[in-house]
Amino acid sequence: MEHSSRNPALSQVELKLTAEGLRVTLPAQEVPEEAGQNRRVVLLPRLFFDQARQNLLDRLQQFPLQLAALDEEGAEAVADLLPRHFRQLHLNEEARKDPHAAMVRGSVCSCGQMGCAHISEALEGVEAAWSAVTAATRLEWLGWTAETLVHAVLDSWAAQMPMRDAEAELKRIAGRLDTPAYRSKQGELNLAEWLAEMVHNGRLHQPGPELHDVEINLSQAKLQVQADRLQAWTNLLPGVPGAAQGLSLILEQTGKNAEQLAKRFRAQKP
Amino acid sequence: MNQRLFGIWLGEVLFCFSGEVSEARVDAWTAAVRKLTLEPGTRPFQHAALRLAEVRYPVSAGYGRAGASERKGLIGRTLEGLALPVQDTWEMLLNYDAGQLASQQIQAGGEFEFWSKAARFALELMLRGRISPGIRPRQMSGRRRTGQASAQSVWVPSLTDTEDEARFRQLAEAMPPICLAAVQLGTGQEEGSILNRQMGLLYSFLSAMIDYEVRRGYEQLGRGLNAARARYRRGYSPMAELWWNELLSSGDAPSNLQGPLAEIGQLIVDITETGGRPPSDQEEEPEGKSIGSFRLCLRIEPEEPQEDEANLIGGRAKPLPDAPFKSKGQSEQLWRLSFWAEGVEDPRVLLPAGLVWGYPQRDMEIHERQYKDVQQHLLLRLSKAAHIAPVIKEAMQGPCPESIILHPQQMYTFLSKSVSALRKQGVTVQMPTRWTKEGRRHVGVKLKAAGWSGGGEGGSTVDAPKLGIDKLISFEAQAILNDAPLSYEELVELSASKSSLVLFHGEWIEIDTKQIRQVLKFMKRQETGTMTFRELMHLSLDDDFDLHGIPIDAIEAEGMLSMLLAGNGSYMAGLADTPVPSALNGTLRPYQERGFRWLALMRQLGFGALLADDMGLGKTIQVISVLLEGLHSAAGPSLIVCPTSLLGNWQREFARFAPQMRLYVHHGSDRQHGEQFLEMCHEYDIVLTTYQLTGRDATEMREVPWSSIVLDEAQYIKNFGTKQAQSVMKLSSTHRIAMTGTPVENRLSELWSIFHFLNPGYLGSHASFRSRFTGSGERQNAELEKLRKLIAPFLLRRLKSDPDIRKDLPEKIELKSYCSLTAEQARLYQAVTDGLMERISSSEGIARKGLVLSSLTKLKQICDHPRLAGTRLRSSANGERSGKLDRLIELLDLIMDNKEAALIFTQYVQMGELLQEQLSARYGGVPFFLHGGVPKHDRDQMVHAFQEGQGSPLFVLSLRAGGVGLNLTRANHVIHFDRWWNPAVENQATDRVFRIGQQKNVEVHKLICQGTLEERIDELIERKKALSEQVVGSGEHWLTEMSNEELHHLIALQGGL
Ligand SMILES: [Zn+2]
Repeated sequence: MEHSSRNPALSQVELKLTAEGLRVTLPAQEVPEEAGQNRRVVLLPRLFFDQARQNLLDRLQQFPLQLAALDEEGAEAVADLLPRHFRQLHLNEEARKDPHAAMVRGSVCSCGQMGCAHISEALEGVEAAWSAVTAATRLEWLGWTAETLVHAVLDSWAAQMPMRDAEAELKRIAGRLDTPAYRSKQGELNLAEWLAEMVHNGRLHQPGPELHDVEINLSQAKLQVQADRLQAWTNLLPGVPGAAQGLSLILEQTGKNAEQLAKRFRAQKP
Repeated sequence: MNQRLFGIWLGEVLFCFSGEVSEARVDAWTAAVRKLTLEPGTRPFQHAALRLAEVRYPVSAGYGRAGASERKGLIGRTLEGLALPVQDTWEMLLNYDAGQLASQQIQAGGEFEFWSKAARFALELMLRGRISPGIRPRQMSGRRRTGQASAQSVWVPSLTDTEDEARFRQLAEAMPPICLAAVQLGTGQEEGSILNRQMGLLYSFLSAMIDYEVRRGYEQLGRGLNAARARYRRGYSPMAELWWNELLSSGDAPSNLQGPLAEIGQLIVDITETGGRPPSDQEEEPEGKSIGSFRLCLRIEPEEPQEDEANLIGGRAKPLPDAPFKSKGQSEQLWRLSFWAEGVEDPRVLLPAGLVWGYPQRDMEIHERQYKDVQQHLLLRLSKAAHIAPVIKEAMQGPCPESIILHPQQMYTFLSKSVSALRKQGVTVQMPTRWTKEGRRHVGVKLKAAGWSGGGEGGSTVDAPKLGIDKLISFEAQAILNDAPLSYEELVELSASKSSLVLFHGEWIEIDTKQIRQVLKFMKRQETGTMTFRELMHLSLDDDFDLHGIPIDAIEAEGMLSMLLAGNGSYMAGLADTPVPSALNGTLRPYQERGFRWLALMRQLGFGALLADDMGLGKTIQVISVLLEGLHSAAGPSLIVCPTSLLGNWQREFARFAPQMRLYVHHGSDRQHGEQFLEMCHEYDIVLTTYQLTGRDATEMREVPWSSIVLDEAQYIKNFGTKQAQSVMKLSSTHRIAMTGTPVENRLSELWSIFHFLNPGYLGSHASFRSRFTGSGERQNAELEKLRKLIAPFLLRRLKSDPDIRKDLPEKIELKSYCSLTAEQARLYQAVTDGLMERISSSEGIARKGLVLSSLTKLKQICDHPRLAGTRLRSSANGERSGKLDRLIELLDLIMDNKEAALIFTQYVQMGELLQEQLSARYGGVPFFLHGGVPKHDRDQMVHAFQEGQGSPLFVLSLRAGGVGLNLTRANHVIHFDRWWNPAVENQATDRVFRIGQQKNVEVHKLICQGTLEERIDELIERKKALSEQVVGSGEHWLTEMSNEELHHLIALQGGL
């Protein structure tokens, strides 16, 4: 995956996440004789991120609400759990004293020199990019997508549960139920039986949980009458020249009336 | 009282109902709901029409009402409710606020949260212009022409935006099951998955709201819309233009497009293609498996320190390490709030959160349903709930949130602040019933009365000497939890519970374990058993009664027993099929036939029966029919006891309806005694006697094994202590009937005595009866209500005013009341007769005529009252001197009891005065007496006052005085105290009450002294009437033309009375 920072100063640092690690391609040097091989590539090995990757997983396990938010809204929800600075990623015992030096030591440059200046340059570029990119990207540098991270947390939760055999446990609980009565042999639903079952369980009047999810927005809205939709009706009614105009009038009038109702409604509900 | 409010969208109206079926409750509900006022001061239900709808709704709203076998399907029931039209539905739902309803004692079902959100969704779509022209196929009503179709123009939601469509789908998924409970074709989609039906119904609802609101705006646009309309010409323009014009019409006349199927079909395709088709459930079910989803279920239970961890499924509670309540004292009750995933489509699926977290895969399969991404779903639901309930948020501070321990303050806050909000969002909360409306559940016993023990309903009286109330009934006992049956296994399970809080049928309930163990003990011992009918009746009505120490909560019976328990005599009569004996010489009116069958049934069952029909409905013929019917199986004679004045009536009625029955009248000084009496009893079918003689000849009466005993005017035994009453009680028979025309259920001691005769011991001892039922006040009323139910199975009382009875009655009923002469009257009568016969042979011409007429008048006067014959006895009261007057008083007693009014006609002014005097002494208030001597002015005043309901309800008239044109319709009884020889004159008198304005059936009573010329003349008139309707001459002169022999036959005193 290619990432280019939007910061113009860093625009020439190219970052690519590969199986080995983060490949940082530095911009061309100005010295002409080196023009042929002026694009130095620095590899920051995966190892650097593994610890941070695990740390994130461990921490997120403790915050189910953030986990849910991650699942629903995406990476931004866990932004505060990510290291603020790139250099904080590599945090093993040894690196804690001087993270920068440890990173330089562990990286490889295409020039072949150990600890060359390219590496420092690359690290600087990456550090700047880290604070500029979205949380999703940062997550990706750590090797996560929102989905894989959620699954990883859930897997790790599952591993913590002292359940000898979850499958058997599920069977045991499900086995206590009678066989579902309200599906005929053809698998067709029998409404009367389904309703009887709902009554039996005291759920006849209970709305589904999705009711919680549906949000109605009655704030003042700009009414948009789409021209292409009007055109479609005109096509259906070629003999009615005023159709589009009429439709537009009606939508606007309805919108106005709805606004009156909504206003009353907004006034009632703080 | 709180009223429930449920709502279902029926396609054009929101059908609102309570689930109640009893008329009274529905009425109360309607009254309460009509008053409901919402925020802007509107009363949405005020003018809503009552309507019926077939709804799959449980018989009792209680949970788990149905047993396992009844659970298979919910049957549609016709419920009455209010139909809220679109306009009011729209207003009501936009302003819906559960709290506001609750403050007006109306408890709305959870579906209103849903409908209200759906309405707001419609409003949002309109606000954003996301609506579209649309078309809806219509059900063709009436004759269906093949190849024809019908549709209507309608504004619909435009859900082309993916986000809108997603919300539409979510909203549809959230639709509560009740919304799909209407048994009705034509709304939404009737087939396919639940989701498909939900979507169809929601689309229909949104369209109706939008269509209403859009068309409402046309008025404001006014002429602005004219340019938009098509110039449609039938036959030339495309159908689309007609559709378009109907879409643009105000909607006063519902749109109705009709045309060939192909054309309408194409139009529908075109329009839905243009506007976007309604979303539907496209999800393919993997290998025939349906998709399931989870809702969050929260369970609250007491946290007991020594609770065995193993009892909790997957149970690891996670109290926060630094929870503030940890340090608090031991005595504080702690609560565990645990998290569960509950199947939305199948609520029996209830998984502890721990199992979900620990499950190694993302998807689960339970009962052929696939639940996808289970952990993510539960997590999402939990996080939504956390936004509402702080304690859930608190619990979500570590991996695998499963539960949290709450201390009382947290618990209180949770219950008062969060629970209702959570429920509105589709979270279920299981909690101890202490906080639910129902409170602690009551476990009790219900009895199922299976029938008469030893087979056969009652058996014949011959092999069952016991009276019916002592017969044994076998029963089955059934444990119940509130109203729902509990299986033995469930009972055992509940009784095994260590705690008073138990999870049962998906609900967390509080029970009394001690009570349950008692019930279990009872059930082990008494699952089946027997009891007497008397016990059964008392058990079903008396709270104080128990069976072997266990109070019985309900009694269920089938067939005859259930009818008896319900005390519905008319229905019971419908169940019996005894045919009216063909030997009966007459036809029973429909209600009389029912009465006869009821009497026959009561005899079969061995119950004493009280026939208390209104006077004039023909009790005698019903009783005669049942005696006749039992004649072939009767082991001995039947005894009829009546007041002396009714002896004649009975004789007449037997002679008329059952002439083949041999009747012995045990009356008069020449009556039989001892051996002779017993012999008479063998020879005759019926022995007829009076109360007086039953007392006097008690010893002989007691020796006869009567096959039936009938008491007429049974109120005569109201004083239990009297000799008459005592003697009657001591008579022996297995079949007893009491007759009365008085509203006996209001006269307690009378009632007790009569029942003591009919079903000895049924109402307990007189002393206990008195202390229980006499007095007043609310408690007393409740007791009396019980008493009424207790006697109901044995009491049949029909009123003339019952519409059901009235339709069987002629508008004018003629009743002849036969009465007997007193000894004094008989002596006087005989003297006059003798005198006439002696002198007649020696008279001729005018003298003979004069002699005849004056003698006849004298005889008639003697029949009326001895005083009219000019004799005065010092000691005897006037009342006891005339059998006719006695009979009149009996008749008037009934009329006065029934709060009715009567005209009494007599030919003699002296008799009129005597009546005025007697009646005012007995009933208070002097009756008017209108005779020839009353001036016109006074006469008018009398008539006016009577009609206005002032003064006595009795009005005495001399026939001659009552000129044409008198309107006396207040009275519905006409009593002819003496006979006029010309029926035309009598009819004219009757017509004073039987005319326009008369609301009741009119009864004409003719009092006839038995064995006298009155009877003979009556026969003569009847005979002539029957022959040719040719009525005898108007005057009395024809009488003077008779031969001496004829005359003798006419006037001679006959019969032994
Ligand atoms: Zn280098």
